[in-house]
Amino acid sequence: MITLLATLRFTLVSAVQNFWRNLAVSLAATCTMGAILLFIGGILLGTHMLNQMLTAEQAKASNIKIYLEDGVSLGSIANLQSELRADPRVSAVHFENKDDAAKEASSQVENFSESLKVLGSNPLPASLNLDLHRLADLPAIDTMARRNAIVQRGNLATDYNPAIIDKLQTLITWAWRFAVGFLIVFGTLSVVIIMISIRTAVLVRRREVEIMKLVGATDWFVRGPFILEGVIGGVIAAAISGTVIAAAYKPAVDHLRSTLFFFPLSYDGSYLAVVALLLFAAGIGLGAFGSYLGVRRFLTV
Amino acid sequence: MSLAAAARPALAADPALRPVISFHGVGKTYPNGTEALHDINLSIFQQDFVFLVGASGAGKSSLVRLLIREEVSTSGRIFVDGQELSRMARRRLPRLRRKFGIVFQDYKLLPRSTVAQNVAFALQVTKPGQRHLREKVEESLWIVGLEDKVHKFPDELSGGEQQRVAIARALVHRPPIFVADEPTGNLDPDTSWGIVQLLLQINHRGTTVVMATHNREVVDLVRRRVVAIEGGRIVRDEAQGQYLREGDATLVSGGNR
Ligand SMILES: Nc1ncnc2c1ncn2[C@@H]1O[C@H](COP(=O)(O)OP(=O)(O)O)[C@@H](O)[C@H]1O
Ligand SMILES: [Mg+2]
Repeated sequence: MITLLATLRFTLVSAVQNFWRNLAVSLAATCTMGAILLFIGGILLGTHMLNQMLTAEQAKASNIKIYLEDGVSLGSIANLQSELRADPRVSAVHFENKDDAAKEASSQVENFSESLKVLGSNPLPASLNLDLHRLADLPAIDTMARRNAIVQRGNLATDYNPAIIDKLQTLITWAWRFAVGFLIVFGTLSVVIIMISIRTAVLVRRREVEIMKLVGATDWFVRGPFILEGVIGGVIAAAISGTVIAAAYKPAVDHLRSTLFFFPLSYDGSYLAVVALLLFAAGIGLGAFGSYLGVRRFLTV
Repeated sequence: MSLAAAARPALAADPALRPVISFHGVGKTYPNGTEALHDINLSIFQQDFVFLVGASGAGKSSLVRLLIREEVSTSGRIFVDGQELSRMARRRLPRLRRKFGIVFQDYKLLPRSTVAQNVAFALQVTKPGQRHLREKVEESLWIVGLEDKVHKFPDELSGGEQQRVAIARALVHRPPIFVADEPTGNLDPDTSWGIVQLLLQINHRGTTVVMATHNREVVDLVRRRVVAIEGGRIVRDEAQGQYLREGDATLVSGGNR
């Protein structure tokens, strides 16, 4: 027990000394790793936001809003409604009048009710909201709806937008590919940088190492401080990048929400916690791995 | 059988007393092709004091490096305490090294640590959490006569004193074998003589001592076993004069300095 404590103490003290004695190299390595972790965290949060958008779009996707011309008779609406209800591809039909539409809009868009007051009248159309059994039937239903006389003309006929889902999907795929590529390239880079800093540390302490081997210190006793030094660098890098990401996430979400108000983005605190944990794991892992390789390569025990 | 063993037939005949160190047909050729040692046969018994002598380049350091397994022999077998070195697993190396106290010509002290810290370091890295660390360090420094220099730094000491610190560090874990490679190489004759006396004292306390040196003067002053090496071969292995009575470690020509 005493032995263990003394070993830990020696290892920790030497590791911190190592860090200080070649502060320039240690800091350079730590900062590089911090920047890399920052990018990794940013990519993780970015793809998470894209995923949020995609999920929302997909949920929207299996339903479709058919916008109706103003002032059409309730009878013709009821006709269309029952016609759609009879369609086996449709699971539910729900009528939304202009007031409902306005209410929904004000719940989603800030200041909408003020704008409505300024306008004096409600520009939003009434709609029939359909739920479909299968996504694949969307285009056919869309085409069918557009032919009906009570449905609005042109772009405003429905809210069906096939392009956006595909685009999001592609974007997410690419974001992940980019993230993985980035991870491989920069993970390797940070491992190499840590190896270099460990090499310097070994050089600075070569006399100590020589004596330790001479008097019969075990391999792990000799290696421990150097490996811990790498881990300390990794933890510091993770702390720095984690703090930056945590601080930037909320403003980023707010900013995106105000510019892309049609996307339902939200601040996901639990995902942020997962990202922070991942960053620490990555920092410790890369630090330990890099310094282990450095010790293997440059410290002949 | 070596002459040294023959000089002590009573001990050599005792089967319980096998050599602490033995070389059997040992050769060492470095990767660059230099054959530093050739067919070395050597037995060293407990509490022996052995000088390895020879000109510079003769192979003394190579022999020492094989003994402490800093290098591995290219032929033959070396036993330390019954253990064969060339087949020894790497992870056993620390345990082997702890059987030795080792000093070199350059003292290998930590310049930023005090005398006491330098000595304590050897224990801290081999037996972390060692009890009575301070007492052990003080005792070791007392043996080498540096009890009043405990808080000095190496650059505040003379060469001889620095070598004494190195010796104290090598002794602090009470090794059964003491190995010195040219410990007096950087020292003037008077100081060298002091170091050799110190090693004799250590030997008198029961420690086996192997000292490599090219300094014939020192060797001639002390009647101990001398193993002479030339061109990587042992050319002579004999007691200088004759062995002193068992346990009598006073110097034959101690006053002659
Ligand atoms: N690491 C090495 N690589 C190649 N040759 C070496 C090495 N160490 C020593 N030698 C050679 O081995 C021979 C013996 O050297 P050494 O054992 O150092 O002798 P000594 O200690 O008696 O001066 C010399 O010719 C030396 O040049
Ligand atoms: Mg030599």
